[in-house]
Amino acid sequence: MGRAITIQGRWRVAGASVIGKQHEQAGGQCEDAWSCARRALQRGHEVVAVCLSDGAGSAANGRAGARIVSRALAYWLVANADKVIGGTANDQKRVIVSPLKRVLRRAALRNGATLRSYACTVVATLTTTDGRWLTVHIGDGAIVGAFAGTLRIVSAPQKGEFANETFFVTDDDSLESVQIQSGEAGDPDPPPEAFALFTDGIEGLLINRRTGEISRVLADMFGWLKNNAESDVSAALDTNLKRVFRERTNDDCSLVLIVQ
Amino acid sequence: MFRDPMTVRAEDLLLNPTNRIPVALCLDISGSMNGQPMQELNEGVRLFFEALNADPIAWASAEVAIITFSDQAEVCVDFQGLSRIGSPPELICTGGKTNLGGGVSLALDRLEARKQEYQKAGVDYFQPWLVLMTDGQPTTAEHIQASARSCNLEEQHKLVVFPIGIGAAADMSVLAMFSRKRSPLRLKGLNFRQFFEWLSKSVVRVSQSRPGEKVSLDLEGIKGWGEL
Repeated sequence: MGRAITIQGRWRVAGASVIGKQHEQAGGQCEDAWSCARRALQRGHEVVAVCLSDGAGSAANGRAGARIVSRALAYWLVANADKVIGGTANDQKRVIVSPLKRVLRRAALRNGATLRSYACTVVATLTTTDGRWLTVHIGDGAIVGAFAGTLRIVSAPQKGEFANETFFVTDDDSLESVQIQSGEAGDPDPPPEAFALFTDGIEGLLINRRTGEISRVLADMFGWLKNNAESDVSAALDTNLKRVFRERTNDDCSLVLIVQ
Repeated sequence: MFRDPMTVRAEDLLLNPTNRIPVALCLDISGSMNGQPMQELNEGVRLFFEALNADPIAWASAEVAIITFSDQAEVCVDFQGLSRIGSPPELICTGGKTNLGGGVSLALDRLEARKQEYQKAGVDYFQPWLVLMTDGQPTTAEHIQASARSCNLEEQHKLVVFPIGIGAAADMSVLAMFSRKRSPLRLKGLNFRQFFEWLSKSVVRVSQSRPGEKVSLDLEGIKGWGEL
């Protein structure tokens, strides 16, 4: 489920989430959710946040957790862009993770449930039109960025030793597991031109785990978003996730693109 | 040929290996297993493979090794996917004593080596399983060291151990040394088939699990083949 706000800005956003075969066969629902938020800055600049979250299949309220986290983090990031970009790494971690857990804790209290029952992972980006950017990542899933025409993994999946071990926003030590990358205009590295955020359901189709190779599909998709309407690209992503990706994985499939 | 410009070609997607579940069967083939126990064990192992072959996800995920022990410990089948193993080999009772510790040490060595191969090849894997079956008492002292190693791995959540006694003569106190989390179970009669059926279902459950999911074993199902 996605909710893109349709204010035109220089960063263009498209995304889709589709239910995986295993959830569908079991009569379940898609446990991934994504959101996008935008806010005008001074001098005609704009800040955009996109956030994708994957509810833990094992958690009773994982799907609700993903919906809450994707929305809350996207809105929180655009509202606090100046505070988080450029802060020290420890401050960034604290100011991002603490309010996110607070929102989940409130939802848990309201429903007489545990925080843990809202377990979900998260990948998010915050980008401004004045060259600042930040990525947030807890758990599996990944973020790939395009820099001067070259794709690279900005935030790799975080997994334990074993295949069914990962990290969640709701973990006691999520302040330690959160990965944050950021940059701004004037950095020696070239600024990002695009980001792709995706959940673990399709990570294995886009990244070779042994070599780190990134599928050329992402470069093609960034091209789609540069040259087509956001809604058309979202529809195309939905179709491709259903027809091509979902046939090759059992899990829910989600992909969000942001291109300048 | 015209191609919709917003269409992904399947050949542009990357391939990663399926997540693996390494399962080491560490089996007693000493002299006391001769006759019907050996026949039933072989039938159980055959059914185990058959059940895994019938589930597409488990078939692609499970990697089974068979380590046998009598006087010596031997790798009868080294870790590999079911497509390569095909049918399991017929296990033959060679006579001899019960080098239980040697069997477990060899199984743990092979598990460690396989994990390193997975890591090198970028293959994700689930927690390995060690199934230990014996009908007697160890005839060497090697089990002391091997059981400490097994418990240590278990404590670090790096191994799941199933110690199983066969028949009245199985020394359950020795089997108990191999796991601090799971009490050894004694097979009811020669219910190997029920045990391996239960084991294959458990492998199927794990192969379908997702990150964060703690797979609980079918405790009710254990009653069909085991007793404390």
